[in-house]
Amino acid sequence: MRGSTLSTILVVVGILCIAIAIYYIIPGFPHLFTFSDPNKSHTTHFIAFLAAGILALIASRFARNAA
Amino acid sequence: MDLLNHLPELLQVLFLAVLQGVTELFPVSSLGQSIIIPGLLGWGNLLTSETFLPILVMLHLGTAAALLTFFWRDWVELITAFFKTAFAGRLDAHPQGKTIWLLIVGTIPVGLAGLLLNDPIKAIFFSSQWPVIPAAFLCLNGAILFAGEQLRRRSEPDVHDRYKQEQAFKRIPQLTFLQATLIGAAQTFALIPGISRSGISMVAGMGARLSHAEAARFSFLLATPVILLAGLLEVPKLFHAPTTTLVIAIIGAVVAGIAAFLSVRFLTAYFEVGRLTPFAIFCLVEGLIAFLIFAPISLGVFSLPW
Repeated sequence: MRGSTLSTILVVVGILCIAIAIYYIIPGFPHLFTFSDPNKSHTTHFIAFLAAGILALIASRFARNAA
Repeated sequence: MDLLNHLPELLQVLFLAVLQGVTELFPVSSLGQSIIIPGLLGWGNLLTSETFLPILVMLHLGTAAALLTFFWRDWVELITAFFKTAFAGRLDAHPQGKTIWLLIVGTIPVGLAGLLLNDPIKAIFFSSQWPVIPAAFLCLNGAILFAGEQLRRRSEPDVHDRYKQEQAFKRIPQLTFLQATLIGAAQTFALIPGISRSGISMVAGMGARLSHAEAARFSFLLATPVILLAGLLEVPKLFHAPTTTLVIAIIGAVVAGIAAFLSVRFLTAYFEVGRLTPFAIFCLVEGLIAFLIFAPISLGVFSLPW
């Protein structure tokens, strides 16, 4: 896989993860893959997906520079 | 507050603190031991009881603190490497640049699995009063360690000196990102009580041709953020605990930390030339004995006298 393609994929993954993080922090509607009250905000999921999103965006820079 | 009035509880916590501190790092499954041994002592599922949760959180934080203390130079280097590589956008911006990203990549599978599967797994494996399934998985853990070690022997160079044999294998920075991901993915099996996190990640690391010492080091470095974050996320449970419980929990954390520090010091020296075989035998024997005791009890054939 070319570095520029990988970089683009990682940017998409990063943005997707950040969007999922926002989805988990907003209360008032059902959240998938949660085991306590699905309608409340889920901080652990928020932190995990936000961290994954940021890491994917940083990794996309590595891939772009390596291209 | 009089700790003497809570002496039996304090002694129980001290025993479990040593057990947690030692078994978290030895490849013998801390989760499995923390279910099987209280089961054998007639304490039931003590570690999953609501009143014991604050203490368990502190024991994990004590273990994480010990790992951070032992590897503090590595972590200072690795955190520096993270920021330098992130700002430069290049892995070679710091000598430890690749290592920190191998650790991050290796942590993602177990982080995701912990987030999505921890509660259903707890519901399955902690539902029974008697730890029959963890005992069976402890046997399986022993078999995995044994198989990993046997496969490693086949790929070792034909020399008698163990140091020379170990030098033929890789160091952590020589891993590929795919290998780090697979080692991290192997760790997810340790969510099952009886399967050891350090054991299975060491076997996976050895499968990627790391030396024993480097596989153990990678396993301990991978474990640190996982144990620390898992502990920190549970900290809110401490807020509603009574003062006596908190004091006992802090004493337990210190004891668990000391036990973990001594364990990691021993294991890093041991794996310079040592093998996984003694731990494999221990898991097989303990798992088999526990299974033979708990299986008839769970079927109602007999009961423990205590």
